[in-house]
Amino acid sequence: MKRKLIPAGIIALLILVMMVWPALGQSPITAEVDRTSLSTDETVALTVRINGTTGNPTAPELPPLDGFQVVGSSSGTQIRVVNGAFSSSATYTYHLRPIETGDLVIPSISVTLNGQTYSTDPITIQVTQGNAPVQSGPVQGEPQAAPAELNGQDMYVEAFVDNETPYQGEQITYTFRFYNAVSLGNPANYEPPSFTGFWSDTEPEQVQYNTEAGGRIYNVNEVRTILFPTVAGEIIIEPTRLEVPGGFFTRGANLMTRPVTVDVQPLPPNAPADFTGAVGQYQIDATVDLTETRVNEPVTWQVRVGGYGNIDTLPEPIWPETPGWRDFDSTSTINTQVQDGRISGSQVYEKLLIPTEAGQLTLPAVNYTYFDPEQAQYLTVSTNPIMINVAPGANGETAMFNPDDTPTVGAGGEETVMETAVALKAIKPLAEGKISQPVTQIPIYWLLWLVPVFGVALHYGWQKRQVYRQQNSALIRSQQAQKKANKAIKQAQKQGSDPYASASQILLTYLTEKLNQPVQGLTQKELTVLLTDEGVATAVAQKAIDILTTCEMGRYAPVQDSHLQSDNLLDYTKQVIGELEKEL
Amino acid sequence: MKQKTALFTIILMALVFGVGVAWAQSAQAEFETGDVANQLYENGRYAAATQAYEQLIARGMANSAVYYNLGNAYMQQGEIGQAILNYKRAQALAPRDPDIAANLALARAQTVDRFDGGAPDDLVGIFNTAVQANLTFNQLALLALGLWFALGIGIIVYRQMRGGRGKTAVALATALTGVLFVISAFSLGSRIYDANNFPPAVIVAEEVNVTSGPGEQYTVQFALHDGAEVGLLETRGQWAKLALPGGETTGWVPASAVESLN
Repeated sequence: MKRKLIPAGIIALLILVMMVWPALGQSPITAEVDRTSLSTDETVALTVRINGTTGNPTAPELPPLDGFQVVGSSSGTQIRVVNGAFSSSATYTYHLRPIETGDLVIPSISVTLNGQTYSTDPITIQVTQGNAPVQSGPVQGEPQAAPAELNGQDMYVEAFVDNETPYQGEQITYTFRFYNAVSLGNPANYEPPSFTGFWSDTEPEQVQYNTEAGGRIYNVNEVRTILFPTVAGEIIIEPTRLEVPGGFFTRGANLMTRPVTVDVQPLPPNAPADFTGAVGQYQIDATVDLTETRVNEPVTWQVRVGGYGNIDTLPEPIWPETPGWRDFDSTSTINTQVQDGRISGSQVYEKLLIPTEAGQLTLPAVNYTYFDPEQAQYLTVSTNPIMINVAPGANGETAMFNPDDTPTVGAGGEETVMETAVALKAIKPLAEGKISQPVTQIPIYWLLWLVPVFGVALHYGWQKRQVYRQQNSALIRSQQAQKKANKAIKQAQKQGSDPYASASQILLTYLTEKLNQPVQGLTQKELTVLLTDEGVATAVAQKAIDILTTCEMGRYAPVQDSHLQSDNLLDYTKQVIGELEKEL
Repeated sequence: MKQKTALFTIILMALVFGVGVAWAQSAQAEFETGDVANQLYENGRYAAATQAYEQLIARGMANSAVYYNLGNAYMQQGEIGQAILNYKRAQALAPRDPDIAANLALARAQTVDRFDGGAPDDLVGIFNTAVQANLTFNQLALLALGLWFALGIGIIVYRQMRGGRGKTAVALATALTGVLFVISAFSLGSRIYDANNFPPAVIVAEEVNVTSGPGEQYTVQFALHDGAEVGLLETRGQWAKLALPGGETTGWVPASAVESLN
């Protein structure tokens, strides 16, 4: 018992010391930072805590902070009365943004309490260069001004478009901002509007930065969605919702932006005839893979339309007539990227062409007409015509390529490439269903092979048996005589029929089947002779005769003095048949 | 007596039918929409369509139409080997589809390598080719089993009959069934043997050197090109042993250059 108490005492003492220790030498002023290394894109929170015993604590004197810019501050006091003793503490938080890189020092901070001055230790902070300019701000572009409505709230949302009167098909950017000055326990749930009336395919861009408004530092989350209006007229983008879940210390909130109205201008009416709907700024160029070829040997004509705009829905150029060439449907590949908040990229169209005659052939210029919303006018760009020298074909052909020709099966399949483009059968609609396992891998499949074997074998056996039975009916009857007799006895007992009549009938039937000859008409003497001739012992034969005699008499008058009574006659008959069976 | 025979026949037929129904049910599968994949194809975005079809296959929707469409998507991108591979997979599931046959022929016409003696000239070979062109593996396996049952039933009925013209007719029918059974069983056997010993594969690299052993240090024997149809004999590490049609010429290629049908 004592042994256990000693370590427990030591532990208790240790705990007490640990609890009291910090209080003993504690300075009434402490300073701490939430991080000791950061980049110039970030801010550091410096928290100064002052504990006083009486009265209101005085604010600390902040020394000059070289290399830092104070971007915000907040304070809070806490007063406690415990057992009549009064104590107070105050917390001052300063948000500092580094404007220099390297090891920056926050010097010691002093406070005077009850005539005595206390100081904190200096804190060293390591600052690295961030991605953005030292002035901070959003990841891209100039620092964004905080909206006028934002004036000290904990959270605030806003949404706007960069151009409220775009042309149909012109890119606009819908920006959603979430200003937040408190820490969130859980991530907020962003619910964007449906953007009905707009075409939008790119992933929204997200940026994060800090800004100051009303004396508070806000963390700003910005979501930029690139939109292309598809219809003209006034379109209202419904509000974006932001569900901020409540944390341990904070209350949840459901925030909603104002709806944004976009007045989409229709394209001017004076569109050229070859305008097919491209809006933006584009260039066009054309190349070929070969400038020297032969009749029937294909050339790939590549036309690239690139620039700024809705590349994904860019209409195909109007292909000019190509006399002297046989052309095939074009294929296209699309490349897009977001560059400075604008979608840029290109669509590359490839057309396979086969020269049908020898000589110097020309691929004509391809024109592309688009509407430039910045200049508010229709513009046309063109490729240069391309000259191609076509030599006579490998087999001397100078005339038309015949698509009905059988594909040349042999080395080099240049000709067949072209036929493929035309002759490839179209894809099929997809339906449900998957490959079933090969049945040969299922054991039951192989077991089923045995069924006909067994079937034929069983049938063979059954047929054999039938023949045998037909040929040996007497023998079979003889073999089954006892079984039949026993069954008849059982039935007679069950039905309670006249034992004399039954016993006589059963015994005679048994003997008839066993001996394979009728015994009904025989006298007792003849039957005895027959049985003994068949090798039955006289005693057993006599027992059988006895039964028959008793039955004969019993059928007409009750038998008084016989050992064979009606109640045991059938059992006795069964026993005698058993004995006869052994002898016969 | 006749009643018993009839009962016996009915039980046998029910067994065969029951097995058929069970297989039909196992072929049911959940349906994943392929509209997106087909849309991509129709819009000429073949690389994206290829990916979409591959995903559908990975998710279990592997039927002849998906493999066929995937083959088309590869064709459009000029990947003849992959196209042939997928057309052959489609054809194994739908051997009588004329579109698959047509596109496979187009793809084959673009391959560089030609092998002699591809078509069989013996009776069994011709018959095997005909069966393969018309029946899937499972159809052939079930046909052989069905003929085996019919043969069994025919023998029983024949033995049960008392003679006369009917019996002669049954004897003839049973003999015919027997002949058909032997042929189908032989064809099935040769298909199982080929699948296990000479699994079909296709070269899916533009050009690949065939070496005498599994490694680059071995002598280069010849080169094969995209779309060459070979038999895959063995895979050892990063190398695969191939046999050309006929089975006499063999060699090794990097395993990534060849893809098996199965």
